[in-house]
Amino acid sequence: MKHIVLVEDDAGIQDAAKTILERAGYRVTLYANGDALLEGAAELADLYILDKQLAGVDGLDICRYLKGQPATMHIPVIMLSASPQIMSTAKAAGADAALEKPFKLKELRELVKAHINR
Amino acid sequence: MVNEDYNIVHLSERAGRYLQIAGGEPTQNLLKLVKQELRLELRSALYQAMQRKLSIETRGVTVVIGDRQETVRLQVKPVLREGDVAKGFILVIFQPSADDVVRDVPVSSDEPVAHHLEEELVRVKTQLRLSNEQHDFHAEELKASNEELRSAAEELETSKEELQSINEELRTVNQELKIKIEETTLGNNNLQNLINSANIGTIFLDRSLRVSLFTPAAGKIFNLLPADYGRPLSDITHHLQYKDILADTEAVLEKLIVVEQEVTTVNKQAFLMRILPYRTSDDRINGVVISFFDVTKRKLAEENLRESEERFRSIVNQSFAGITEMDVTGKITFVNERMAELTGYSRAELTGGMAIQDIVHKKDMQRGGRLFTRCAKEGIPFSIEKRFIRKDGTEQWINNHVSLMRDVAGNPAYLIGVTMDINEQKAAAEALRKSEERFRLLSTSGLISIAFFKADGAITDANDAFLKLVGYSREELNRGAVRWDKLTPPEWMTRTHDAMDELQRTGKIMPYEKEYYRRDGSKFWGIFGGAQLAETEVGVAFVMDISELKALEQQKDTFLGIASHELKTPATSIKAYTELLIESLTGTDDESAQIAGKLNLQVDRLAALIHDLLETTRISGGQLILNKEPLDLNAVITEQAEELQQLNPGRKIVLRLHKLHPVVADRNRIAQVLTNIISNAFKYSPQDEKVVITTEQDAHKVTVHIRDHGRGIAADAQQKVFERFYRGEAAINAAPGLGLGLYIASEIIKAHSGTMAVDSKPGQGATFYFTLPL
Repeated sequence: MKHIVLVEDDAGIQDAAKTILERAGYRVTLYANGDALLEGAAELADLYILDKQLAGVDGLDICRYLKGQPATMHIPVIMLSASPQIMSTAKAAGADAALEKPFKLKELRELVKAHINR
Repeated sequence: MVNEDYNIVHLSERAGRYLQIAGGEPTQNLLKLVKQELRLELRSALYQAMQRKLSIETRGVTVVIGDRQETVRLQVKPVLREGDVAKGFILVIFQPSADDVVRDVPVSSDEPVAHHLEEELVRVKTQLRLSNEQHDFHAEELKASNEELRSAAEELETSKEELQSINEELRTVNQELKIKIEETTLGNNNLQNLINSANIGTIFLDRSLRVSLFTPAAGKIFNLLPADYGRPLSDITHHLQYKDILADTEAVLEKLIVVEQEVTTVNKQAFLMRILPYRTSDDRINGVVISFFDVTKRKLAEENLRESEERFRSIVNQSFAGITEMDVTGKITFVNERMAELTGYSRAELTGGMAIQDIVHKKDMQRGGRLFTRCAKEGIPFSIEKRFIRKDGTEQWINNHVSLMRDVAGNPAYLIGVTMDINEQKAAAEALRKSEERFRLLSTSGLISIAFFKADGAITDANDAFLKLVGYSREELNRGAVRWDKLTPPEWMTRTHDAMDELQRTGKIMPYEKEYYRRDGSKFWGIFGGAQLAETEVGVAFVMDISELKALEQQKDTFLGIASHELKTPATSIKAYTELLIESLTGTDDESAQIAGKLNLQVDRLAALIHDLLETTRISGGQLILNKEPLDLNAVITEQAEELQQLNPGRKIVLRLHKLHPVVADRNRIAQVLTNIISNAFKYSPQDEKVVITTEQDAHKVTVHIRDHGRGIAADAQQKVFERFYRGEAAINAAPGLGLGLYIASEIIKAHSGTMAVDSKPGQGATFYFTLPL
């Protein structure tokens, strides 16, 4: 079973996303911030989903960190953001894809499916 | 009674008896008239009476009267008394005395014959004695005559000498005469030359009007030849248009008047003709002189002068300016009609004793009077703006130009005033002054910043408010240190040049917002608008500091940004849960599945609204970032059309797509543009009307047309539809939305360096179109 790490500070989105992804057959680990990832405390995933706007270190910084680490640099990253600009900013930070909030269930599953099997 | 010559002066009746009238020439001489027998006695008696100066009486003279012999006593009595009127006359009396004959004769002989002889002898002796005496007397007289003759001879001698001297004088006079003749000849020649040179046609006619002399000039007028001397005037033809010449000439001769008149010839030569009697120096009339002075040139000159005067008069009278002629005291001698209009007085009133001072406003009197006096004295012309008081008491503003005219000798003659109506100018100047005052008030109040500028970047003038705003001093402004190109930050230069182009094109700059540098390098937001000043290179601009407004707007955008961002988070959860719910209910025929589907649509609408708000805050904040890539625009259009078709099943979208080159653009943004425009078309057109999308391209750009068949857009609203939060009047009530869709679409196209616009007529639908550069 593929493992997805989701970093999202909003409990509602955490819960909804976890449900969507688990229904699609993925194992989901949730974090409210990026501390665990930055400290190397987190379990490696097959795909990271990062919210852009987080308290403290934001999603783009986490993305850059992950893409800078040999252990994680090959793992796909999908950025989530309320900002319509996220497509371009996410790419600049090294992310593999981005999704503007609010997203469709189908969009999220297709995006995850597309990147996790790469 | 007889006189000294013995001619009878008076005769008594009876004396006739002693007289006998002899044949031949009648005579009054008594000695010739008296009878033969008495003649000797009487002669003797008369002679003695005259010589001796006493009365003589002779008696007994026998005379036969008829057949009777009569004895007569003769008495001769000369009148001797001094002072008597009859002195010199002699009275002769014949007195018959028959008896005396016998008694008085002494008888000396008895013998009758002897007696008779004796008597005869006595008588003869007496006669002889008398003759002797007479002879002596004659001898005396002869002697006297002889002496007289001698004296006469002497006088003759004297006369002869005088004759000789006269003869000499005659010779001298003759010499002088010769000189005079020479002088006369010279004079005659001079006169002839004078006549020729004067070119005055002159004809001399004698008393019977025959030509006696003419000058060459007259010869031309009258066809005269030297052969015409002596011919009557009536025989001579002439070129004059003047029929009465003969009658007038006769009248002159008859009445001794002078006829003077102008005549013209058939070939338009004009002459002053004068006919007058020919008077000799001793005032006799010897004929007539007709003279012709050629006045053709003068006539022509007069005609020209008359025309010139006519022209001048009409110029003066029709002149827009009032014209016044005054003497040096200001008394009006002439005005034109315009001047009468300007003053309200008639021309007759003005020239009937009025002076210019009478119509000048009291307040202008002193100023004008000084100039007038100086002009009249020194000839210095002047112009003055002043007021007349019209006849009706109203004021008339005028501009008066006065100059002095001099006579031939150079003395001041009169003054000419040219007067223009400047009421309107004065009113305009007053209006301008008020307008300027208003403007100055606006300018100095500090309420608004005003600057005058040129296209090259210079600011030529500004009010204090402007200087305060940009932080410069007036001294720096005067020095030319304040320039709009220095006040404009680089990122605003393009927009500012666009504004200058707009000024050039349209004469004004529609107000727009831009940032400015202050002197210290800090920036502020201003709203700027301007206009070209007519016929100058200078524009006037106002700038209002809208920094505070801008800050508030920024706050609003920030707030909107945060708010919409925050709204997105729960919306995202709601959306996710809704779709999960739908997923859970799919396949059941539970009503909840339908409700969940409706919920999802509303969540999408909410999400779209939030998205638009957020997008807008980013656009106005200049944070629109494009993710450009080569695109097949037709594919994007098709994709979006299909999606919208699915969402709006009742609608019909028709695509007329032409093959296009790829464009470089942000796929998602362009999709959004299409969605916004098509959604707008749906919103404002009836359900059953189709929306037609057409694409085309040329060398530089691709154009996309989205045509609907809705109500259309009024011309004045066509620009506004692309503004933030603008909603059509009808839409406010009918169609939902924030009024951001077209604004966002238009801003996205602008960010792609494309253009977006709309063509529409109310009631005939609208065609939105946008271009993207190739």
